[in-house]
Amino acid sequence: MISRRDFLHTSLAIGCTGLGCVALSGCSTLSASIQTGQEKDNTAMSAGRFGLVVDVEKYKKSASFSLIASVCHKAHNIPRIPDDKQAIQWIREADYKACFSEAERQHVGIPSLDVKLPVMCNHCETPACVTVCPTQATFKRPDGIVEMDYHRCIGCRFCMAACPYDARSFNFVDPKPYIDQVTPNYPTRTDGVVEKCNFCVERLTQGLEPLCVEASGGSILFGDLDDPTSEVSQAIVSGTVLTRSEELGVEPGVKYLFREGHNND
Amino acid sequence: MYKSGRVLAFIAVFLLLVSFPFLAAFGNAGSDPVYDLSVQTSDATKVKCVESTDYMKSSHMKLLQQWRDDVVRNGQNDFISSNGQAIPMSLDDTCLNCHTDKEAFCDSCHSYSGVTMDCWDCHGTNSPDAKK
Ligand code: HEC
Ligand code: HEC
Ligand code: HEC
Repeated sequence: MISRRDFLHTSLAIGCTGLGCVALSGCSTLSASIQTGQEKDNTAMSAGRFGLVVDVEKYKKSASFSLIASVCHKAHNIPRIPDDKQAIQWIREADYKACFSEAERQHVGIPSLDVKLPVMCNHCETPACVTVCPTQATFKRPDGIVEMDYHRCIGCRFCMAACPYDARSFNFVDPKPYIDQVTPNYPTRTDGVVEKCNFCVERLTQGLEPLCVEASGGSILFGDLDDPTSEVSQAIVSGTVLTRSEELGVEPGVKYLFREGHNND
Repeated sequence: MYKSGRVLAFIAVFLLLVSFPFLAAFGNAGSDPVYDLSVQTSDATKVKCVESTDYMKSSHMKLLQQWRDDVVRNGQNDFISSNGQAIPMSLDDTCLNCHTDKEAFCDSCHSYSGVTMDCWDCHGTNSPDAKK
């Protein structure tokens, strides 16, 4: 490992050299040389773009939403606020029919299915919340995760208005009194900030998968959507995939996979 | 002089009022902040801070800000200290792991220095006093 200071010095040196090159030739050399300066952490999970794939039939058969929600909410110190209008949710359930249009359901060959699907932040490719945030408190990481920087959030709630998926919650009250038992290794929040699912970034850095994936009995997959050999990419091509409100063009990173429907076509 | 007695009295009262804060604090300035290092000196790994004590005294807030941005915005994990040690960047799990009593350590020095910080609104839930 190199120290931060050395890293910056090296980057500066490489950057200057790069700039010199740009002056002489095209600008492709610059981005290439910066890439090589990046340090890699072996244990952390990395990706071009992280994504989730919900295997719908398997989820219906073998997953328990209450278990999934409870591990997520417990680990992230999410309060249980009795008033529904002020509730904080990182993951919730939505009716199959509410998630997808008639045409989409016809397309996968399953017009109706008695299942509630898990829905959470879609970590969009072109996230509307990031565009509207006046303080860059919400931003897109290079690995595709749309992350919240609670230290910068001013609670304006533009992101909540912009999000087509209703994935964000606002802390109207101080959440701490509503947390049964605080999990020590994740910070709590305070009133006046917006929060949402973070794809468990604090676990990814330790090489662990998101908790909903771990608790799903194998019905939710996680990995690099950009890598064609990854489990998620292979799953996507094994059936038909829907994403919520596809027509908006925000390219959600949470995909719903229909294997059997595809076979029935 | 017209009504000089009253004017002089008024000036005396005025001077007294203005200098009151200085008189009241006379002799108190320069006393050391009462904070408790509260670190387990028996544990060999806990006798030194993440950086030199002088640096920590003057710049721990900058270090914390750097950690915050490195973790949250740059997706990094470890801080490499000037002596080459890799230390996980976490306010709760690193700083408060050694400085276990944040009220006696951080808060007492801050109140002495008149510093307010909002970190404990969200952090520091690890310590026993978190649930008030
Ligand atoms: C490995 C244990 C350890 C960790 C981790 C640690 N400290 Fe310290 N810290 C100490 C010790 C021991 C001292 C006292 C050193 C001395 O007296 O020379 C100290 C001193 C300090 C001081 C100076 C106090 C003074 O003497 O005026 C500050 C400020 C401080 N630490 C803040 C922090 C912050 C902020 C963090 C997290 C970024 C942190 N420490 C992490 C052990 C630790
Ligand atoms: C030796 C006294 C001392 C100790 C001990 C101390 N601090 Fe500080 N801290 C200060 C002073 C003085 C400032 C203000 C510096 C300034 O404004 O330039 C400050 C500022 C800060 C700030 C920035 C506040 C803001 O937003 O303006 C943070 C964060 C902070 N300290 C965290 C900690 C933590 C965490 C600990 C305990 C691990 C700690 N400090 C222990 C003296 C101390
Ligand atoms: C509104 C709540 C909130 C406040 C106030 C807050 N933080 Fe945080 N902070 C968080 C959350 C939540 C995370 C974890 C983000 C993540 O990993 O997704 C975090 C992460 C961090 C981290 C990196 C990892 C960790 O767990 O320590 C540092 C360092 C940090 N904050 C420092 C500070 C300092 C210093 C202050 C005070 C000046 C502060 N924070 C105030 C919510 C807060």
